[in-house]
Amino acid sequence: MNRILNWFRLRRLEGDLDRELQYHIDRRVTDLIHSGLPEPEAKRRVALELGGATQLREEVRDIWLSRWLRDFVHDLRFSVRSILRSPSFTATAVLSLALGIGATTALYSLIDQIVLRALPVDHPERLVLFDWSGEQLAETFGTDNLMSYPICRDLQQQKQFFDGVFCRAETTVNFSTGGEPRLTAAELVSGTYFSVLGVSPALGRLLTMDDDQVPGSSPVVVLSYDFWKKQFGGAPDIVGRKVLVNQHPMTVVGVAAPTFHGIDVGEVPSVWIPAVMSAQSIPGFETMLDRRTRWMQILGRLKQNVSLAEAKTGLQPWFNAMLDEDTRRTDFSRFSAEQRRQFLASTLDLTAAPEGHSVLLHDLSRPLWVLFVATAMLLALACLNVAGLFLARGSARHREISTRLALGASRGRIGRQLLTDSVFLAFAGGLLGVVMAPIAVRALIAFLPVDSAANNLHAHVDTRLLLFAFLVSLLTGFLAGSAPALQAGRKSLDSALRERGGTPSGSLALRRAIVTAQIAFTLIQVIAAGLFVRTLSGLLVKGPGFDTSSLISFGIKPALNGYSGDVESRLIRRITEGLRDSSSIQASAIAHDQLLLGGAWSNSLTIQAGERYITDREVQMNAVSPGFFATLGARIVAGRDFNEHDALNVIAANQSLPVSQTGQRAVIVNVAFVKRYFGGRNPLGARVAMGSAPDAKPDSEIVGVVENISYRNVREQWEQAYFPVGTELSGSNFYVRFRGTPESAFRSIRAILSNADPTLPISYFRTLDEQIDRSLNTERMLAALSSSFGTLALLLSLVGLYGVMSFVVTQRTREIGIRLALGATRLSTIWLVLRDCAGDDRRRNGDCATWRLGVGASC
Amino acid sequence: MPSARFPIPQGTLDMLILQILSLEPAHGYGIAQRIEQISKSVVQVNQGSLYPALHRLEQRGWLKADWKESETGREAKFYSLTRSGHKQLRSEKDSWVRLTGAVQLIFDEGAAQ
Repeated sequence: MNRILNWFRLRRLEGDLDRELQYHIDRRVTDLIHSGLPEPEAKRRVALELGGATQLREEVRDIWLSRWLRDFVHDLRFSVRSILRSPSFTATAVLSLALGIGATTALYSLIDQIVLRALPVDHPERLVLFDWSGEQLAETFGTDNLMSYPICRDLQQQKQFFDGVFCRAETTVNFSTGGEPRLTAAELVSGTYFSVLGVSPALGRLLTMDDDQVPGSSPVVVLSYDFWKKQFGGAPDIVGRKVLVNQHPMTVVGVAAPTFHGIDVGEVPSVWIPAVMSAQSIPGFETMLDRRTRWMQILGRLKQNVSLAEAKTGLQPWFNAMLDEDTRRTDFSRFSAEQRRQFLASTLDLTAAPEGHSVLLHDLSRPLWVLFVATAMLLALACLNVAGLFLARGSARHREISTRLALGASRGRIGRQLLTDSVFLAFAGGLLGVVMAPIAVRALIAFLPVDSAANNLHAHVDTRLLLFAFLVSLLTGFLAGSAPALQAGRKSLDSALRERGGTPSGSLALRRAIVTAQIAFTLIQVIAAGLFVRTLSGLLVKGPGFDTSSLISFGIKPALNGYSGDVESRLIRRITEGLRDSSSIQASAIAHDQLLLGGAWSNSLTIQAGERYITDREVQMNAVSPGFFATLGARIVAGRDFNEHDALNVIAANQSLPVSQTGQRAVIVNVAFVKRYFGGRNPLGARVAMGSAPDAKPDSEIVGVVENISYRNVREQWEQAYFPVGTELSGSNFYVRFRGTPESAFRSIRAILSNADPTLPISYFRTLDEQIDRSLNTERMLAALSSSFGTLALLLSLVGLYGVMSFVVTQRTREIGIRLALGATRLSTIWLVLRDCAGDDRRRNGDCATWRLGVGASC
Repeated sequence: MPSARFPIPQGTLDMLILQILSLEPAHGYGIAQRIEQISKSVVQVNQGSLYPALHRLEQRGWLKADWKESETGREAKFYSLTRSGHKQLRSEKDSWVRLTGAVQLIFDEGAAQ
């Protein structure tokens, strides 16, 4: 450290040394003159004693700076000069490295933002996520780590472990400031949310415990900073303004700090609403205080001196007591003894959650790491390339190096020079890579499956990223330079001077090893890319089981506009009729749940077919209108479709099923369901009941079997059961097969909707082809990126191979000349080179190994 | 016949410099003179290696240097021992005593035979 400091004060140090030596010389000369020597003689004696002022200075300077630092600076100058002299070499090397470093940095940027980045809140490292491990016997609304709101309130009492506990659930509300309502991302939160996270208001106040007491009593909202800026133009008088959330008047009490974007990287809420207002925010949701309804994620902040393990162990007695208490609640009698046993065996899990809770993190961390490994491999290829190029240049610089060795340079010194060259090049490449990285990041974000992710992910280059790129460049430089550097150290001076033009075979073997490694890496990349592409094309060919061309889906949320019951059914009927009468629409149908969105309504079924049994895993369910399968183009393979009589008074999930006018309840199952639960037997006429409770009455008759279609995503084929859509089990996802272009279909649908209710916003509108693309986003990302990485890898190893071959040919110029002079044909000469390229026997073994390595790694 | 004046043995210059400076701060020329005086001119300092040695010891933190007015009235660079320099001197003296003791034992053994 001291020595590096010395580098900056070198001038002063040298001045001091000169003065010090001058003092010595003057004193010595004076003393010698006193002892009787004549002045010129005295001066000569002193100079002799000191042994050459220049050498002395050099020696002291070495002490100040240490040798390597001084040499390094010289090496660097020399590197820059020699690198600038061969621009094509430099361009190839720098570009290779820039590609490798740029790709790695770009992926690291995403991983950093999605996987590694902690929340911008106080001490994110002490945030923990609660999870129920085991059977919760609860109805589920949402995905991942869900629990009920009362459990969150219980946990808030565990003050010996936590500074605070909060819960949150995301939803979409119809948000209006008087004008046209707009669907807006919202987060329902407990009153502790902001205080536990340590978020401060930018304006007004945030939500507190007082806002989270009595259900329905706190009509207040907090806006996100971005939403306030965008939607309200940053109006300073926003606090106190009245807004409408799903037609319910609420008051804006504050705006959150600009840096805070919620705790989910992928889902950025625009408004925060107290959890006690859940009935107003989610129409029809009245079970906030029910312990058997799980819909919120619970997070807590550990106390300073409490570890995760301590908290986990400490909570278990309370948790067990709560389980026990739960089983004595009245609504528990509907569960079987086995279910109770499973319920009582549950445990409470705690995991550190400095990144908050993120669906994006959950879905993407694996694909992202896979791609990161691919880029690291690409970087390794670039390294090998540069190493190969250096070896080639090393032979070109053979004479220079031999001469330097002969003049007394140490091997280490020469090796260090070569290392400096490659590190310098790596930094040049790294710089270019950092410039390219933001472009690559932007391209990557476009591939991410979640739309809203784009809101919160950015392509800036920050200090963390720069540090990463710096370290990667340094490592790359060392890796690329180490082979040539070691090579330079190994040559014996004697043979080096005697050889003319040629290089020792050792160098060639090393270069061949490098090429072999390169080809192996490339093969792995190309084969991996091939596999990803095959997976994707396989899924695309397989499709969702129905024809997606000219198919549109759109959704409305009438409940958010205050519709319910008969009024809602009338609205839906009006829209359905409008669609039926439109000339640009061929067919349309309604579903309760959207297809290909990643989620599904799932529950167990009780089957009565001779004997009574319960499905061994949850069945995916949907409620659809008559003609749904026909609209999609899915074939009914046995029995019949629903008709108008089936579609009456369907009562919500878990309850007893509807009775049609003829007294017949109907259900349609898919082929996979029949295969799993009926073997080869005829399922028509068998009866089912929703749920697995002992009192479930199997009174719905299977009236039809439909072929398998994709529900959650294209990858999956699951057992499905369809119920008729009715007033209670309403559907507001429309599937429309149109004639003509999607644009004209959209225009007529828009007209039909605004004719029915002009204030009703469309929650989404897309073609099914788009929907499939979105549901295959991860696969598409993997396939597209791994293919481009594979192409790059091929390109890089092509450059590498070319470098080696051109070098080998140069080396054999004399031999080839002699062969030609002795009568070899042009053809045989070309064959000679090609044979060398394909490899002699020894080499061929190497290639086989390469193949095996490549194929092995891809399996 | 051995010369009356010895060059300082390899590696002992550092120790001698530390010893001289432990008495009082001195500049380079003063140190060389002091060594010759005290050893009655038997030990001769190679002035070419004196300054590198001083700078090396300073770099290691055993010496610190200040520009002060010397006995001739000119500014000179005065070296003095730091706390870790004192410690270093003690340990070097120790090992020197052990080494010379051991050498003496070997000589004594030779003389006894």
